[in-house]
Amino acid sequence: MLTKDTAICIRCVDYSETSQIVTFFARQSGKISAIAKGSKRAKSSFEGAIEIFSFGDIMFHASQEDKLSTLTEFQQKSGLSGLSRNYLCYNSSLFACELVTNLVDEHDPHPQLFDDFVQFLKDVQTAASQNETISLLIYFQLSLLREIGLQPVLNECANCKNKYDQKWFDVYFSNSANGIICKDCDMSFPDKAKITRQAAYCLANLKNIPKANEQTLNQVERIIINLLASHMQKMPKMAKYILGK
Amino acid sequence: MSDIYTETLNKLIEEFAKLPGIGPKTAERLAFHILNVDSASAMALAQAINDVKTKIHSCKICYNFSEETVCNICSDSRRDQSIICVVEHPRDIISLEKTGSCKWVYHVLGGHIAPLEEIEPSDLTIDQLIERVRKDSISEIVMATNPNIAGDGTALYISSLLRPMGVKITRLARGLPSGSTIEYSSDKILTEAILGRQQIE
Repeated sequence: MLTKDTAICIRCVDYSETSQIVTFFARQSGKISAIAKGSKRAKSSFEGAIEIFSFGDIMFHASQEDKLSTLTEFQQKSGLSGLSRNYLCYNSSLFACELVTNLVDEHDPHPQLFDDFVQFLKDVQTAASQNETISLLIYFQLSLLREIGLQPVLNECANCKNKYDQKWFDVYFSNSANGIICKDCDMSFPDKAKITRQAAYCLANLKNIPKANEQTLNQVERIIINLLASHMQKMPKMAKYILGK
Repeated sequence: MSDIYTETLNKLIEEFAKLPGIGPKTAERLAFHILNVDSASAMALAQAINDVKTKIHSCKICYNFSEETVCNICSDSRRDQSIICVVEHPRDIISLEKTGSCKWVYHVLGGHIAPLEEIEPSDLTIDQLIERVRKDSISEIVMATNPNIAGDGTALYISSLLRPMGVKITRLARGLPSGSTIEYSSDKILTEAILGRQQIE
């Protein structure tokens, strides 16, 4: 069946001298893998080789779930050409791709996540500072966790449901609890880690993230990366490029 | 392995079939050609293959292919040794040199950074490039990595290391190819051309 969709390329590998196997995150079809025959030929119908972040309208022959689809058309749109003009922006975008590749199942559509992903890539190109880039990345990561059903509990204790209060002196974060933990519950979660009050405040009040200082932002990002790693059961490859910026 | 050929012929067909762009039928044709030519011609081919594998190695300065310790380009005194053009592969040097407009020297990285494929900066000759810039009096670095996401990322990483050293860093221009028409250019190429527009002298 021929399917038309809007999609962004999140992974591509060479299959032969002229063909590629591409993974798209499509708005209506979810994550799909397809073979793009002849895509590397100068006169291909895909406007040249497809690369990561290539975005546009695709047409493909959908296959059964465990087989590759065949890409028949790809009309690329401009708008994401600024991703490789800044090293942190480039690494953040690759990180977002890695997370979508690893945490979204094939053929599982997430239109809202797709829109958030494209918006993140558009916004991160024009980010004026490192802090703004990291803030945008944090928002995208939280949006991804929400859309795949793993939204962390950030405004109350994930165990006793006690509402977060700025007066909490000790605040912890536990990956197994999937959220913040108050002092009364910390003994139940051996994997807990103490977080600063500023980081806890940012997590509980997400709209304050852009106003946070660099140190707090880095801690918030570190907490989310550790949470993502626990869901992926491995540390994301791009994590060290973001944490060691 | 087919029973209709001898063991050695099968081996030769298998080896030819490993070459890029060579299918089983072409491999068979090449193997029969080798079988039919005189012994001297076949041995000359074998010797040529042996020579490229034993005599060619990396230039100790730029990591281009060379039969000497230092390649012909690095040892050419007519070239401007203060400008280094950074390329991904030795074959990129061949393409650039064919233009006849390059009077600089080169540095071959040996690929591009691809964190998602676990190709890290330490897998390339980036440290050697930085050392070269530090030791020699280099005025300009021309980034000639491929004009794609991976090439741009590699150029950005190298630029971030070189910028504090005060060296001028440039990137090859990109956009509309000469002789083309705007009507038939893709959005991507036109965007590049618009962003990289130049003032007319």
